[in-house]
Amino acid sequence: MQRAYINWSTSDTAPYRMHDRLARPANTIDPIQDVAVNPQELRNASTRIFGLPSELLLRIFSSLAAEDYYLIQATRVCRRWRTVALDNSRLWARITISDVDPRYSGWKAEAYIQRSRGQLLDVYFNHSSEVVARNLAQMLRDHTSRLRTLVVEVSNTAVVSCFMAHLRAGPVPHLETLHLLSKGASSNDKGVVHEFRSGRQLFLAPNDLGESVAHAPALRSLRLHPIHLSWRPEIYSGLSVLELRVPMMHPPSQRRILQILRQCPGLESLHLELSSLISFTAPEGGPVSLPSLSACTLASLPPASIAELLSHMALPATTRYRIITTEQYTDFDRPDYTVLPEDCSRLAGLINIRMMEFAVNAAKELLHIRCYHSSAGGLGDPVLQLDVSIQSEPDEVLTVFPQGFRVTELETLVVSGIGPEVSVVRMWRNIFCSAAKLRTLRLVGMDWEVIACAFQELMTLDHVGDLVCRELTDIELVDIEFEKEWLAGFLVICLKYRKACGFPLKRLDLLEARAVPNEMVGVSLEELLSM
Amino acid sequence: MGDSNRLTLVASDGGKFVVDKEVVQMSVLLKNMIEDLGETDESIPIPNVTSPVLTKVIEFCENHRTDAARTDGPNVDGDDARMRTAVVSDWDRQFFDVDQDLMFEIIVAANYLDIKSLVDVGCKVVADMIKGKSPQEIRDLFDIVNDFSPEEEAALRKENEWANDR
Repeated sequence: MQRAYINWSTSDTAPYRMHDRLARPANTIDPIQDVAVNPQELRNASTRIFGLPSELLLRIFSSLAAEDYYLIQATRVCRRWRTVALDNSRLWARITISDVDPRYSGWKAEAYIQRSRGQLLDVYFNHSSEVVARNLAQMLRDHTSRLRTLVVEVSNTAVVSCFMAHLRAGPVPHLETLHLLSKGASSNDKGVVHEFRSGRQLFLAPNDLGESVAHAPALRSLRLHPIHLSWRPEIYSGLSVLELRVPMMHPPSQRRILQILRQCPGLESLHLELSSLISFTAPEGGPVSLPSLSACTLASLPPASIAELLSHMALPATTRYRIITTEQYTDFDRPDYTVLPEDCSRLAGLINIRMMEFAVNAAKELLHIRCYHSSAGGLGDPVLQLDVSIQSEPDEVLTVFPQGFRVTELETLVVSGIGPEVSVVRMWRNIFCSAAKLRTLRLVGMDWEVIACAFQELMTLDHVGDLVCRELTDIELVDIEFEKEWLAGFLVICLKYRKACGFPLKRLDLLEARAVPNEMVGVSLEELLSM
Repeated sequence: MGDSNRLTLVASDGGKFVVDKEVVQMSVLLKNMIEDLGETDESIPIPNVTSPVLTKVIEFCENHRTDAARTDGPNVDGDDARMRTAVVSDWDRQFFDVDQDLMFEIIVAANYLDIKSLVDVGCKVVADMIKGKSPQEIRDLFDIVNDFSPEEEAALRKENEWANDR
């Protein structure tokens, strides 16, 4: 008897028609489809959803593919759905193994690798089991040439080690993204030491002469925590994303880092987190130019190392900087926070800072500085986010910091979180003398003593004998308590003095102010000054 | 000479719809036809789409007329990625709150007219209906019967057992 076979393949773009189906030859992609037509199948052909062409069914499955459990369930509904799904290798090229559904891990990985056939693979692993990791790594061993993405994000460093060992086994000519991230691992634990050592040989394969050569030519995005590759610059060639959290032992020298960056002229995102950066010898050549760099994060390094590294780089105005550091002390026992090089002319984004925000957290141990190109601040991302762990008094920090920034163009200054225990005279003087173009001063949640000190300093002269901040027109006091009656009077004296000097204030805003004296409530600035 | 910014679409059952050209240009098929025809008063027949379906399609296009990049050319990899991440708005969900017959007819019509965003939303809505359901629940939802042969059932059971054992 002649058996009729079905072709549900995705090339069938017309709505389903039974007579077409009966006329088509067999398709041998899945053994399940090589079965004669049965009555149930004929019955299904009359349902509305079967009127969808296979390409639309495939789109529906693509939408399910983000949550692969649902995709797998869909393959078990009927013969047509299963054939359409299994016929499309792209649906199975993204393999996600996570703790969310551990039951499917082993089977799923194998099924996906098989069903994806020749497609490049994108593998995402977030599973705590070392056994599951080893199984997957072994499965991938024969398919490294198909690997396009490998993202491993786990807390167990041994899991990372599994993948590293198997990646070394074969070439990875199509690997574009490699993220091996061991979350929460201490950079000096035993596992990390192991990863560090084994990682040094990752992506180095022996050539005909027995020399080690890089064998991941397509690599564009590399993120490693807390391991690193050999510091041979050729490995990093052509990267657009580089993120390294380097273990404490054997950090690279500044010269090596600069050599690596020089290999990546198209770098868009740089994240370096390392405890030290040894500077034995002067770097070769001129500054490293990274004209496409949009994000530059430097963490854990001492301020002086950050400043020195940046002094050898040329970055565009569009670069956004994120710096996380800890205060260091100079030989004169003075705190050092100078994270920016003396000459910032090659760091175009750090020129013309129009707005700065200084904030100290409640525990007085973290200083946050945000710098913006726009004087309106929040209209855009800060060009610089700087977080400093501090042990000194905040006023010490704020006294020193303006010298490290180009505040000559500063128009808006926001200061918050400075408490009553600090002596702030020097802080305000330093800031006001440096920021000659300051127009708006916003003080948030400050103690009355700190505010009073600011008013006092706004009546002093700068080093050439002019009144400080002569362009200051706006003062905003936010979340302030007029605890002392004389504070209001002192404010009025300051404003009158500046007006008498020919530099009157145009706007005074009291927002969320408490215990405001009655005579100040509901009066205009002019009325206040005429009191 | 009629309004050069509007044209008439004729559904398969003869229903006529006068619509803004800007609106129907969400359809790649109609956009190409308009460009080929130039300035004309001729009606454009839509032979594969009935009036109720065309009414819904036009409603969708009018609501989404300001969406960006609505007539992007085909991009297979992009389709996959877009389908994985597409978000269905409350309006879209309400738009597809119709009986299954009409819902699938709209999707097929959108595919015929090459209205990418409507196809995406329709397929996403169907996918959302599938999510969280067992194979049998999906069959019940779409009136599908289990047509696997006993041999295939056995293979699927084995696959399931294997999955459960791992």
